[in-house]
Amino acid sequence: METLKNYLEMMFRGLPNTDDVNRAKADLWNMMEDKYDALIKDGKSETEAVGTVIAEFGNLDDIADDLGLGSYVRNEVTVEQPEVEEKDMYRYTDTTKEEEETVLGLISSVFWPTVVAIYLIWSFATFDWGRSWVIWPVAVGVSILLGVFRKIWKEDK
Amino acid sequence: MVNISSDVIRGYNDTMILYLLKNSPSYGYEISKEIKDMSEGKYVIKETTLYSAFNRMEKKGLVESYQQEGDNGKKRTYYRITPTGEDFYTERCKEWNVTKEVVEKFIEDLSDK
Repeated sequence: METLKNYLEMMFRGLPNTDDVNRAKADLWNMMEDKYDALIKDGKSETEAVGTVIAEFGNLDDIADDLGLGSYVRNEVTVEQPEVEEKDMYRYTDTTKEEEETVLGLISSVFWPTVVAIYLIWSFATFDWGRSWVIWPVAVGVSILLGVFRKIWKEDK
Repeated sequence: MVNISSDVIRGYNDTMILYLLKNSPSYGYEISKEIKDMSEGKYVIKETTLYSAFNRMEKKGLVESYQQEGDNGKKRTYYRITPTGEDFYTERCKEWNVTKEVVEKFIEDLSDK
């Protein structure tokens, strides 16, 4: 029950203290509490009940426009997912940001070292320093192209 | 089991809620439970979706809210349907019948697949 209360508090954190917001919070809390009580009555464990209530709660985006808070919710609340203890809840968190960081990390940790390695091997193998420098403008071009492709690919998705 | 697309059903949340309120005034959890039971568990309405629907319908004058204590002494926001809400419900039923008729023409019978 404490977990649910914290979950709701986190969801509403940073929202202005208006009548509309407070009413929404109180009514949503009533619904969560009623559902939790019913699940416990049906013999569900506390963890299961908390997991179900959170899974079925929805997203504050749904009510943001009703409360005239579109920008608040989208900028502050949904980006940071509330911390919840139960393992069950990790699958509800957004993984897109993580994926993004992995792709960027891969590019910077693989691409540039490879370019440097090719430059050095090429240069020391041929001692043609007058020509091997060409790799730098080419690499910059490739990295820009990669960025463009990634953007197009992401928009397609 | 096939999941219902929330995009499609969203347009009918109001209709479902109004249908239930036509029987008697009710509150958040009771409505969500009735929707789940009537759909045999195939549709579970999210709390935020439900709150948003109540809020929107109240602004449009389709429902009215009031505070009332339940059996266990817990104070809740109850909703009741207004005459405007009843008219709106009837219109939505007519609209659904036409929608269903049109879409059905493009749906294949999958009973032997």
